[in-house]
Amino acid sequence: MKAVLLFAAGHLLLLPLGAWLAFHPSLRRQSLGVRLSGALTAGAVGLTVEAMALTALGIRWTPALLCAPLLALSAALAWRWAGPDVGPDGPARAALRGPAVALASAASLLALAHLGASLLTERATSVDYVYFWGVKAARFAAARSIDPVLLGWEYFFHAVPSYPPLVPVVEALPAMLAGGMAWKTGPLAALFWFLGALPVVWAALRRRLPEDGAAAVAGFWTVALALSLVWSFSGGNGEAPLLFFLTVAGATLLCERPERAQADTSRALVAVALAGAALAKVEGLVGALLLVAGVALRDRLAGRPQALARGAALALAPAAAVLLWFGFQRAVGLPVGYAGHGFFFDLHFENVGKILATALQNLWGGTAGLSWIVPAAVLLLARSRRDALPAFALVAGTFAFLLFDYLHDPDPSQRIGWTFPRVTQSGLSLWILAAGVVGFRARVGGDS
Amino acid sequence: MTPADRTRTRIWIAASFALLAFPLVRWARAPAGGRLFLPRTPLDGIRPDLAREWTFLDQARRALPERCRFTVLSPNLSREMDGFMMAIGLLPAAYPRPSSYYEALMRRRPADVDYVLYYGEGEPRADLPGFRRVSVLPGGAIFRRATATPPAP
Repeated sequence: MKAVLLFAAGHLLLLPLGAWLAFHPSLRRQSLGVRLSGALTAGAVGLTVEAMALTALGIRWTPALLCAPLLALSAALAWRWAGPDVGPDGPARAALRGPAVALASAASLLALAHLGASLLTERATSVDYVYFWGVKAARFAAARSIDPVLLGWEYFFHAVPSYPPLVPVVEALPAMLAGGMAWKTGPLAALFWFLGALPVVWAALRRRLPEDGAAAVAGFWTVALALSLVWSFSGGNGEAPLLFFLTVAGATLLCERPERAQADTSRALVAVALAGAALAKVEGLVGALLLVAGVALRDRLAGRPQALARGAALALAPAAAVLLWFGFQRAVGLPVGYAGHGFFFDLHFENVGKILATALQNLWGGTAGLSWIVPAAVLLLARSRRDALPAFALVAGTFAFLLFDYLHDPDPSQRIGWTFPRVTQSGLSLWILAAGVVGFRARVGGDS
Repeated sequence: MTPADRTRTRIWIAASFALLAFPLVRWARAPAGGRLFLPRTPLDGIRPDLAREWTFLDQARRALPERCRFTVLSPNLSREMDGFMMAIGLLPAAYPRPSSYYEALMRRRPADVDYVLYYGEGEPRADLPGFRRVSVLPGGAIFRRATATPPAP
């Protein structure tokens, strides 16, 4: 029990490690929940960067060594940014009440209970957790490093050593504190990441939608994604962290109010979240760049000044994160880059029909596809869909990326079944939020 | 809030509850008494076959020195690969050696292992000269090298 508690505490430790972001001027006036989400984002990314730096320098980790510099940084920046509020307003702070809020909250709580119970009874655990995600975390904790010897070992090939290191690093810290992996508790981290995204989703929707509408869309989002995490067996693997990072960035960007996009965006939060996505999974970089491209296109079509320059600036964070990982690989003597699933242009075009049909079947989401269909209907009926472009870019781009990936496989059916339901979850997240944004009449006027 | 927005809100909320019907059916179909339980392994709810192998490896782990060299053997090569992958994490300070990899046998059995974790009924698929059975566990057995081996790398 003690080990389990220490394991849980190790996850919560990410909050003080990234507290500096909660004090950034762009977040200081946001709700406590949004600031905590920001702290979680920065804590996970900061810890990963630090873990790479210490390993590259040949310094073995200890919990104190990992935590002290980040805590000092947080304290220094919080001190530096203390002072009069200068950042953009948060959403209205009106009391949340009324039947719509109550019903949406009830649905959300039921879905969260389903997710929690499924993770607790190991009904939503990813097999990859015991094959490599948890394995990497356990070995990193034991080796007190992002063990280059392990990652370079030819018989560790099954663990995809080229994957970026955020998830195992973040799980290694609790494992070090607890004296080993709490294997049965580990999948519950998916609930932790999912809860971390909720405040940002709700606050972002409240910025754009009427109060009841924001609650209703946030409720649907919570139910759909909680069910999807269970259905796609996303406990203990990298899906929940990836969903967290891309949702934090995507919700913030999607719900910018058109008339004040520059000032609205919590740019520091978006940048760190995009870097987190790129450090969480290979698909994270793809998702981050697609999202940024969609935002740039939306802003360009809306005639907002410096749309492309702003998009390019947003892309810097995930690009820098991946370059850092590649630089680490080079520094410790590992092959640099991501391993592909075959020769780049060795494609099996005869499989296109089969891939599309199998992929469509795997958009079930544990809800007979309703999670996708309801927002699709809203998007179809909306008067303008321009503000949904970031979500369209992410969904269409992810599908195209996966199609290209599956085309390398002579018989991809089984792999589609394993991967498509979970890899498309970030797309589903933004698909729902985009439908919410374009489906309601935009909130006008100030924040309060 | 406009009447149209009120209608939209109702639709989103109704859709949320409609989604909840799906897990409700799944929980209702679960056998009575089996809905909520404390699992013994991280795989109980998804792969009972792997959960049994996990239990074997977890019990074997307690009998092995932390920094030993080990391999996993099984009459079923797919099981052997599963066991090898899981054991790398369950024995995080130990030195794993594969006897097969993705169902392809190694040309030679790893020469420097101290322990063989044998998962399966009956005897190992080949003799284990120089090893003796030191423990029998549910699902398998642990064999230990009877002679000294070179120091761990």
